[in-house]
Amino acid sequence: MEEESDTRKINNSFLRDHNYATEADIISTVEFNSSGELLATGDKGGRVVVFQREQESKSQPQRRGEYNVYSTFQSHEPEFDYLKSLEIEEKINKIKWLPQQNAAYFLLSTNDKTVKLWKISERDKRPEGYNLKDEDGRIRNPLTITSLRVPVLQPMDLMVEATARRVFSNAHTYHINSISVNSDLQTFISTDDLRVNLWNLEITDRSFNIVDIKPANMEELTEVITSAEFHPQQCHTFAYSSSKGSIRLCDMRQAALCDKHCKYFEEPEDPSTRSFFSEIISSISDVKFSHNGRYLMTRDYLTVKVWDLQMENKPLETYQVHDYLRGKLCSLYENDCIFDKFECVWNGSDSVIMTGSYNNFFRMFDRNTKRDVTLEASRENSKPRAILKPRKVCVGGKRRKDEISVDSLDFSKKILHTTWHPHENIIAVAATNNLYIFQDKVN
Amino acid sequence: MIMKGQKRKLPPEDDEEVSDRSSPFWESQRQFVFSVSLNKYQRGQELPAPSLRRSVLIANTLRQVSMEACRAPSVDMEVSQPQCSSSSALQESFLTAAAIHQSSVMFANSHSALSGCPLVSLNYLSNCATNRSPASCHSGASNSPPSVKDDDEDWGSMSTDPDFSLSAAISSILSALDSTIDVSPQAAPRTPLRSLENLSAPSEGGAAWAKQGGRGYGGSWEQQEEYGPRESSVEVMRSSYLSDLTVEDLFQDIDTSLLERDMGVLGLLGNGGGYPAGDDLLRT
Repeated sequence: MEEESDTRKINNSFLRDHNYATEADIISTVEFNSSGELLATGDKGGRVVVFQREQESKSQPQRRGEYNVYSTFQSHEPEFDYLKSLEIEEKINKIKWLPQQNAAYFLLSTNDKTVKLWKISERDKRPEGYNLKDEDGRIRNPLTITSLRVPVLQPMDLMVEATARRVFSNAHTYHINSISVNSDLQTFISTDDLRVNLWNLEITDRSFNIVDIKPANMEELTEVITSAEFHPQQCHTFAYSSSKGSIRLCDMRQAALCDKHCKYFEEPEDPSTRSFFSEIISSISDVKFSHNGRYLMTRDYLTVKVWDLQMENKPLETYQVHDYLRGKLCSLYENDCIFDKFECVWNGSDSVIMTGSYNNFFRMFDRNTKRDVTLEASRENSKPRAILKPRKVCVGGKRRKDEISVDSLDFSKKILHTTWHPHENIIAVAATNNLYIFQDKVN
Repeated sequence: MIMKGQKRKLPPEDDEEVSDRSSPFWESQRQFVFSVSLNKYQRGQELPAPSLRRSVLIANTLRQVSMEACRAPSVDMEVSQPQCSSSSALQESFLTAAAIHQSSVMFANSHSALSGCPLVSLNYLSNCATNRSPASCHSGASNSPPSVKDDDEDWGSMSTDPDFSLSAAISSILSALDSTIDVSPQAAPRTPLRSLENLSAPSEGGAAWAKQGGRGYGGSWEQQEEYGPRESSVEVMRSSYLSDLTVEDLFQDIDTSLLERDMGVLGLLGNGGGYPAGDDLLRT
């Protein structure tokens, strides 16, 4: 498939001319809202930047709604837990939008310990003509007031303000890895390494623990929860994935504590590919329900798998993301790349899935045609509005002209976070501190 | 392939995965993975915000690697000692890691459980030592000052346990270090050692404790060095600072009266992995 690249390099303008990147600018999550009008990114410095799509103008039809910065705010600050002598990073781990119910936008953002609900609202009018204070804000002397007037709303420059409406804290001993808003729009879950907690969006001082896999004896701990998500339509169903490559589907109607799963998805290990790293590479880094709610997609280190919710013993489809790394697992273990957590994402119609890889490559798999493509998100290799050229990694001896060999891959350039517009073929890809937005070609 | 700026490390020639155990590269890769995993685990614990998922995955890999060692093709009784010596190397290195942690990182509570670990790991070490070579172990024990009498009794009783297996000891050590991940307030074994530090002989008290146990263990371990094939892995794991000391040296500069009191309160090593109650020491 061809993609037109409308490359938007979102960088601190201060750093635009430099090649290095401050660590605080590393993008740690990206998420479109449910209409696709807004795109939120969170970074390691605890900031959230929200982009808004331009209204399509008749005069310039080829500029199909570019994304511009709409709001920037500091969501989380670094903290220090004095009791345990532990730093709490301000890095935004996940952002999830709430569906829009009024003029304001709401999103949940989380770091390792605290979830916050932010309200982003516009202000384009301000009241003028107060009685007790004048336009500068100074208090008027009441003795000088001879008549009363009604304040009038006057237009002003658009101001977008973000306010923290709720802070959900002190419920997680371990690091939060995911949040998910329920389809009932009243509750959400936050998940750390060992527990899943259910919150009501209105209540911040209480949460219900619905999954707890912490063993009575921590010495017996061998498995952690890596991700969890609510079913998109069934408000009582959620799934969580583990570091051992299994997914559990739970029904909250069965019991208050969902330690017993309804369904257990795991593929038996292939003995021919067994190695010391089999368990690590089977650790699932992301789990996503399809939009239609019939499938589950999981990402482990080397593959993406699509599961049918009705079939637990093996996945429906398995896609190799970068199988050429299978022979390099020892080195990847040594340089810690084997612990990278890649995300995966569905397109709006659940026909295409996308995930990231190394060397700023990302991969798309068409489930119907079984075709796949490797694309690269980099400034050097693509000009704005140029069509992205498919890339290929050469595994054998002979390297063709445009191919790149496995040993030349840059493992410091990894695409961990991607998101797909809910209706259109627009994707956002985070490459370290750069955000790339690609749109489908329009003829 | 390698991250920019980094040099290539062992194993240099073989990057390929070896699932075939009989392959000559399998053993070298196993040892490589073992040592790398150990380093990773230690460094992961020193991070300001240690990742539980990472620690669990590394610990599982370590466990698997050491299990594979004991399940190596040669299963004769004669060579069962060298097999165990590589596992004993595992224990030795854990002990070393624990002792190093203890002396270098004193104030982070995330290491609170870790600093309690030398006590726990010593427990299993003593079990292992007695299981394989009761004579040397007891000689090690008898070298220690009279204040560790309770220690001897515990070791003695443990040695009569017929079902005690080496792999269980390894798992226990691994899981003991796993428990460092638990940063919940309930696990506060940091306090016993902190009291030792507040005494006139501060960190030496705790560190010497670890060294003493290590030394006793090291003594029995050295005897097995004559079994050639495992020697290389054993050499890698050996800690240099333990090799020059004798038990008497360790205890020369310690005020043993303090040790007597505190060892009694700590309940020594016979607790089977339980952390000693810190409250008693706090009150004293």
